[in-house]
Amino acid sequence: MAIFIHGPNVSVAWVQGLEALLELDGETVNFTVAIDAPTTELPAIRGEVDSFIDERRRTKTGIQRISTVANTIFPQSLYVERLGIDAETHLYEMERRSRPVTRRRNSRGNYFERMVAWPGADGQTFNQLDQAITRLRRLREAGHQRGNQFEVGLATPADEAIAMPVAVPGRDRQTIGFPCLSHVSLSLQKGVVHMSALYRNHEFLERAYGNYVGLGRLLRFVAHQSGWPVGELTCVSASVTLGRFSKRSLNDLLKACQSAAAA
Amino acid sequence: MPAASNHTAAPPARAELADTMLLALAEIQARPVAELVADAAANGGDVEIASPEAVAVIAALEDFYGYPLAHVEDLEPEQLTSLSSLSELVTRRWPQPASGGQGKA
Repeated sequence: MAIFIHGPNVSVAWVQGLEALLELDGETVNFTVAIDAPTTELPAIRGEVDSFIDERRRTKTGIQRISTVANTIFPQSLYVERLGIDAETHLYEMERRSRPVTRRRNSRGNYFERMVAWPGADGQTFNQLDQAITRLRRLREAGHQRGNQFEVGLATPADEAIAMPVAVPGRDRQTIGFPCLSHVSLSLQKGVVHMSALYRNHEFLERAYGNYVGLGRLLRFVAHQSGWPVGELTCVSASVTLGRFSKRSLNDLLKACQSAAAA
Repeated sequence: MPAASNHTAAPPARAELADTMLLALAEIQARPVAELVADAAANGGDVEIASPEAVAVIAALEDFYGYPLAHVEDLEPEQLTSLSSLSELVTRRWPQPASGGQGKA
């Protein structure tokens, strides 16, 4: 059953999503979360979710911190914003140099790597993020206010699109695991840059909060570097599950988050 | 970063390693080394870092010294919080000389 969640920020949207999934016995399809301000969190809710995850990291393997999940999409600390336009080159270079170490944990790369070093068929890599920023910047310089006419739903990076596929046909054959994020699209409308992201499957507790944070930071990077305001983030999960947690613990977490938000 | 080290089998002295890490971090953060030195002085001799910065510093050290210096299990974010934690990691993971007494050439 398709579900649509609309929240003002990452934290509230995630809590609304948790509540909806609990009512659906922990899983559904076509789960869509729209976040008005995807760079904003409520620290009290974030603290509750961080505590929940940290507690379970002591006994369960494979659970990652929110910050770790977010960094796989956008390594915020490597983005030195005060460098202006040079911040892009700096970020890409630092990621490239870090890659041999990053790949020890993620042998098939991470999402950010797929965006800045898409593996082409000819063995060359292609920086999709650089292309998207360059195109959005050109639209601004040309005085245009919309760029979704360039949008192509299932583009290859070389197409005239502001789209960033993540999954590589023929290479990513697993039915679970990396890459769960298949595609990122950017749209410029009325002078604001919006992002939509498509997940083929989504572990809501273990990944969704960090993914929303990472995507929000990625959107901010693209918008800031191309000179446009940040718009909304919409994340579609073709399939979503609450995963291997007891319903009681999740209900407790939901109550704690709702109390934190109300305080 | 300076030119690659003419390293030996022995791990670098603590001061040398600290200098090398500060140079790497200065490049990652695009800041003057002097600012980082001042930060460290104000923070008991240490500098807190985010895990992507830590990974970038490890990559720079590996490039400089020519050794892999972090295993997969070393890359948990709880272990990558400061330059002092990286210093301990490098010292712990520095390759031991082979029984013939020769390290990596």
